Amino acid sequence: MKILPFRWKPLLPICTLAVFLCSGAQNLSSRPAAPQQSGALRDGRVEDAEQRTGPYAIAGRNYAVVLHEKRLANVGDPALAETLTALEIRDAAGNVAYQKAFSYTIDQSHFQQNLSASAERVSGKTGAGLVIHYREQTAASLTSTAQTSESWQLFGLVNGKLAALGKPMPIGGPAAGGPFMGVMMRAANGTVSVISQPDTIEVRARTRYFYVFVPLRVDWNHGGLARGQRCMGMIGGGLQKVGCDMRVEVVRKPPADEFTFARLFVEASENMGVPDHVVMQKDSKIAILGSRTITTWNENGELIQPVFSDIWLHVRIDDKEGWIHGDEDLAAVGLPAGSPAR
Amino acid sequence: MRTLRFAVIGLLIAAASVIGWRAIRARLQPQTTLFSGQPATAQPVGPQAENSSAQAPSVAPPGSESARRLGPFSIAGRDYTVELHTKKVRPGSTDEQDDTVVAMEIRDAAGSIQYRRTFPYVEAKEEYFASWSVSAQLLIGTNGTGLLISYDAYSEPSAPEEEPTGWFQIFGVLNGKFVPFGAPFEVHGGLLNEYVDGHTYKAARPLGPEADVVEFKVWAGHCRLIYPVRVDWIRGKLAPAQECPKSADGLGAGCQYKVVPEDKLYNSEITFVRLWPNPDEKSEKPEKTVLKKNSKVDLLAARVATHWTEGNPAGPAPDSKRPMDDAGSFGVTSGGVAGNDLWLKVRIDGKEGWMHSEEDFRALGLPEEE
Repeated sequence: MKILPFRWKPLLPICTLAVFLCSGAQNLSSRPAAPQQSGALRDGRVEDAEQRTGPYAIAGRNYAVVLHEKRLANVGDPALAETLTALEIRDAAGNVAYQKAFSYTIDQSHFQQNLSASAERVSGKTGAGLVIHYREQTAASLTSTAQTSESWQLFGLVNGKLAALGKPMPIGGPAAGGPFMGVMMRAANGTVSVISQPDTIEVRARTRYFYVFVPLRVDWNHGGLARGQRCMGMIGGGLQKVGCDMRVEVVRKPPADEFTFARLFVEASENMGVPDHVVMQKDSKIAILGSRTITTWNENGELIQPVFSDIWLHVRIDDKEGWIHGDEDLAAVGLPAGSPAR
Repeated sequence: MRTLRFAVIGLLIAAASVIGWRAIRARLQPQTTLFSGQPATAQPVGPQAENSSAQAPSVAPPGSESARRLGPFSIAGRDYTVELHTKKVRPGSTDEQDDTVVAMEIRDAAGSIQYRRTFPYVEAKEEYFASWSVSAQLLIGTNGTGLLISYDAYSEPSAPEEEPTGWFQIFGVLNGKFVPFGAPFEVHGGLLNEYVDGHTYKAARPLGPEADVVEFKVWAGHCRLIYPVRVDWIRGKLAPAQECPKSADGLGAGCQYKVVPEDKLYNSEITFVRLWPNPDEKSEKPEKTVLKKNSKVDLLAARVATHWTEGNPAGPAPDSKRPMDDAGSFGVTSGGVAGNDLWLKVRIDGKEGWMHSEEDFRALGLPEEE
């Protein structure tokens, strides 16, 4: 028997999850909820607030998500006037099934970071689960622009208990105490069987330039979480990890320049062929066809974050089709690097 | 029937192309004839041998051989002629294009052989054709006059080239004696039209009181640069006219050369090239410059590593089937080594800068080897 494909594409996504996520998240982690205050508040008022969402039905049990927030009175920028300080998941009886606290800092009369979270129930063939999406915005300073980072937590009911699923395992890799995730096996007689068939969800995550939909495979009832794709290519005579094709969502901001320029590659690789030099004018027709990027997952505290590298965008510029990458060329098609709009 | 007709038409087109190509080559080399010979040799000939050589039978079978004389060329007050012995690569052919040189002899006014070089004879087969041609021009400089001999090999099948590879050898009179100024040089390029005047080739400029600079066209991968050679008339020596800095690995780090203007650039639509202020990618960010179909493009200079390799003045190895294996060479150092790539200074609609890399050369529409 042998493992079948290196490259796994979700042919039948059971469900699609759109969760906002931004790359480059480094700071979002579990922190003691100890407030730090480095500047004087004008009126000194910090208010507590609570938001409750749900109920979310998971394996016949209802859960609610409770968000504890701090709010500042009379702050000019509303985005930095409140922040999440704790998150709880409670069962129907009000018992806390999971809780997490987050620190915050007040500086110059506003929160230095604004953390927010949203919850969504996701279901499929393997059951249902809860996805928490965190979004943290850091205030702009004299030396840096505002940065946004995003993270996730996925919860399933494992052995009757609500549990965070942790970092996605590589395809074919051993699941730490969990089930194998969708590995297809072929017997010597050619019979193909699937050891487990997880659900596929797509995470809408932001690269530095645009959103991509990153597939994940999840087995809610057994607590399994694995990457949805693994892409390998022949490079220098050997198999190496390469970027995977992903759906893309873009919001273009066409530059005001009379001419912009892009180097259009035939493949999503600097080493494949000689790129075509394309000049774009204001009336150029630009179609975004897809993207290819290498995704790795970081675990920061109990939160997971995708990190994108070797980001390529598949485009058609007037009648020319090809791949572009890099800050300059992506900005030239109206996708400057940076955090998403609020 | 239809297939047969296409096959016949195809054969006719192929034959016409070959004849046309050879006709063009022949026209470009005004004093050229093809001769035959057995093992290749090249030698200055001593006074005693001269007389006997003058009447000596040719190395090749005399049956189909003919001779042609180029010159006379007046050098240092004496006349010299170049005698080319040719043979048909297709026996029985009356077509001049089927001639190949089998021997070249340079004779003085008395008919004594001063220099002789032979070339191998290979009878043409249906799928293979190889011939040698030789041409001669008077080389005129401010400080001296010599003879410039060009050797060219032609074979079929062969890949099309932007520039052919040929050999050049300069002769002059040293202490009253007619001698070669070293071995021939292999050059991927040729002579520059601007210095050709009938059967003479003019030196570009004097270099001090004893030497002249003679310029050659050298193919650099995407353009033709002008390579200056110093001809020392007093010592009978050739050398590069430009000193180039060497890199740590001993290879040439690059010299700046003039560039031959291109007749045609292959850009058909709006595109851009990246222009650096200096021939160094790390110097600054390049400026992306729009290139339109009607943009005015001037090739100003090239910076590239070149080599100069001395040949063997003793001539080809005995019994060598390669008649030019004594040749040295000069030209562009083959790529692949960091720092040895071609940088080209251009002016596009008044904007000047340096460019390099395949993608920019292609965007500009420069020629490239297929």
